[in-house]
Amino acid sequence: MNIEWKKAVLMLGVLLALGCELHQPISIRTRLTQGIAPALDTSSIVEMPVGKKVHGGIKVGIIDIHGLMVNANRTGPMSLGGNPVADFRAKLDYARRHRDIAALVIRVNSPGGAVSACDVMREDLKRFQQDTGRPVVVSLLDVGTSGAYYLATTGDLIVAHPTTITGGIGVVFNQYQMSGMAEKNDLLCEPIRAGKAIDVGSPFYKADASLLTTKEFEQRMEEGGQILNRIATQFQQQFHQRIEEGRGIQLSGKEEYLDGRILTASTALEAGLVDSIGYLDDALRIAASQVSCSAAPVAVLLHRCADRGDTPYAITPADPLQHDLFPIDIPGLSREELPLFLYLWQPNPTYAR
Amino acid sequence: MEMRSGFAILAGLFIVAGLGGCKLRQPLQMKAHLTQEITSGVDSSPIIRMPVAHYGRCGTTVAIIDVDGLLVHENRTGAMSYGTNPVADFRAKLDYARCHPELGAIVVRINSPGGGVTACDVMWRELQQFKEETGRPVVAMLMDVGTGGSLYLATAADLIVALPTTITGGIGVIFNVYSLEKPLERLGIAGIPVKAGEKIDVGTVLSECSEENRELLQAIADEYQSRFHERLRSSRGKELRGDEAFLDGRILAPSDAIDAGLIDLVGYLDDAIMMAAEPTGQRAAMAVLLHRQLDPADTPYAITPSNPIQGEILPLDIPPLNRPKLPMFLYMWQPNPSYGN
Repeated sequence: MNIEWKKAVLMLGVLLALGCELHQPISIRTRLTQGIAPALDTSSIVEMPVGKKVHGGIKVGIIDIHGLMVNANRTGPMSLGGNPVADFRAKLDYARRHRDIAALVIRVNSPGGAVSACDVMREDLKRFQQDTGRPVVVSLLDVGTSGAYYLATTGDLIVAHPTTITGGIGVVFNQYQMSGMAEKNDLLCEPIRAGKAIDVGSPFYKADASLLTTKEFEQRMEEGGQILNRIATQFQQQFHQRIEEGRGIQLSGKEEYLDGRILTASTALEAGLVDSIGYLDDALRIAASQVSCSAAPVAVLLHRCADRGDTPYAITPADPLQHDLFPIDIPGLSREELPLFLYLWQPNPTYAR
Repeated sequence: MEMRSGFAILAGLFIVAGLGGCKLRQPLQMKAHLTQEITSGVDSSPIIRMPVAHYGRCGTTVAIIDVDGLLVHENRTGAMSYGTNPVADFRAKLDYARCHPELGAIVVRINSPGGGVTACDVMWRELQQFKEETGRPVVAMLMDVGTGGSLYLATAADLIVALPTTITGGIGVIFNVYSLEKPLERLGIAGIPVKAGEKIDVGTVLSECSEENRELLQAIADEYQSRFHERLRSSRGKELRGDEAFLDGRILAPSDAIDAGLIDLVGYLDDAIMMAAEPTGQRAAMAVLLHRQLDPADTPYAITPSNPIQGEILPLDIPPLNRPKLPMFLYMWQPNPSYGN
């Protein structure tokens, strides 16, 4: 023990005498070996400055909503795809963690999408606003209809381009009747059912008409229609509620805008569905002005690092390629790729592909 | 003693060196070297957990298990996809949770129209057993669609939560019967199987299904249907309400499903995570998604079973020709006969 202390004192004396200098860094190496390839989720969210270079400005995050809003992975060859609902959440979580992003601009270019996807995205944005108190401005580009507008209603302000198409307040369920085609091809299709409404909405719902008397058949078709209509009506009511609570307006007296029709930006402004007309830069400025009146905004685009994004207009979710390789779309046959009840302005039933 | 004196020497060294003006010319550096290798055995993609949501510093960790798409007991392999068997995946994730007691509660996130009767029943039983063995709270969260067999699975949970826009219901059984007799005849093909046992090919597409055979299949479907009703009564018995018109296979919006007692309440995924943690007596601190290592996942909404792409490469779906890929009797709301492809 005593010897140890003596050694220590001696060593210290030597160190002091030499003026203790380390010439090389201490380096510690850890080696981690994993047997499995890294998953694609290593494409984490990053921010990219996309506006004019301004020093000391307020940082405004841009999140883009592009294309059909569905809760599904859009994977395919040459694309990391990505689930629009999950991507949106990941970007909001990024903004939550980074307090220097003082405001958000949600850049929307979408005809809408599945009822649940739109509702979940809206709720996530709403909770972001409640928890952080940061201003959120929605900028509508080419199209901001139906489900995309549904999402926008929770924003503090909605800014539409002068040429935006918006509105589309309605619900659609694509139903096809294919028993005629089956008949033409002598194809018999008569499912066994326990629970007579189990295939409501099926293209072969009426297929076993031959087994029913005409009266029974008519009743069956009517019942099927009622079941689907009832659901669509409830979703439509929910849409109206969301507009009223989100924008603090009364929709009574505005029925003319609520039949699902699309509206131009100026009509939407008259109806009180949007707050102002302007470009993306205006939306950025408005968002920054809500935080501080003087500073010019520095725009950063939030995107996955595997996707390119270097201008405020960059579309970051990469779409899968294979859909473009096959030009044939037969609406009734490709329907199974789509969720069924949609908050969607649908000029084309195969839009989703 | 040896140890302590060693420490004393080191501590003394640092103190005195600091006082003596010891200078490090370079900052201390730590270098981490990450090496990753790709192995050919793709089946070795183990279940791992990924933190996907943070709510607080301390409290319960809630595990999310996702159940997506058609529930069949079959590998869904294809080009560019490792594919997986939904039943096996579910079991693997439950087993992972079983081995990790620090996962205090489970949220089963469901987005599925249902699937094969057996697959759904097996998954139901797995969840039921997990709950009985571990006693941990289990909440089912229905996303876009939670009909048929996926509702059947959800009845094993303590609580069923649905989004305000979830489609649920679909309590029924379907067996797709097609007859290709005439189209084949036109091509000059006739199926003439040699049979011993007249009913050995009940449900075949080669000839029209006779009334007698239909009755036989109907009896089986009815039995599965009463099993579904039984499940609902035993697990949600007290809650089932109304005139039971909803038992005819129809789909329901959440408000009607609450009236019928099929689901407990309306909320979002984050709410379901909170509710799952509640019975543990602590708030939820964090949610982790259980997924196979090869599947990407970084948010609570990540859909982890990767689907094969070959289904999309062939744009035409002719329902009777696809049928062999599907189990025959389905607990499934079937808005499209080729859904399963």
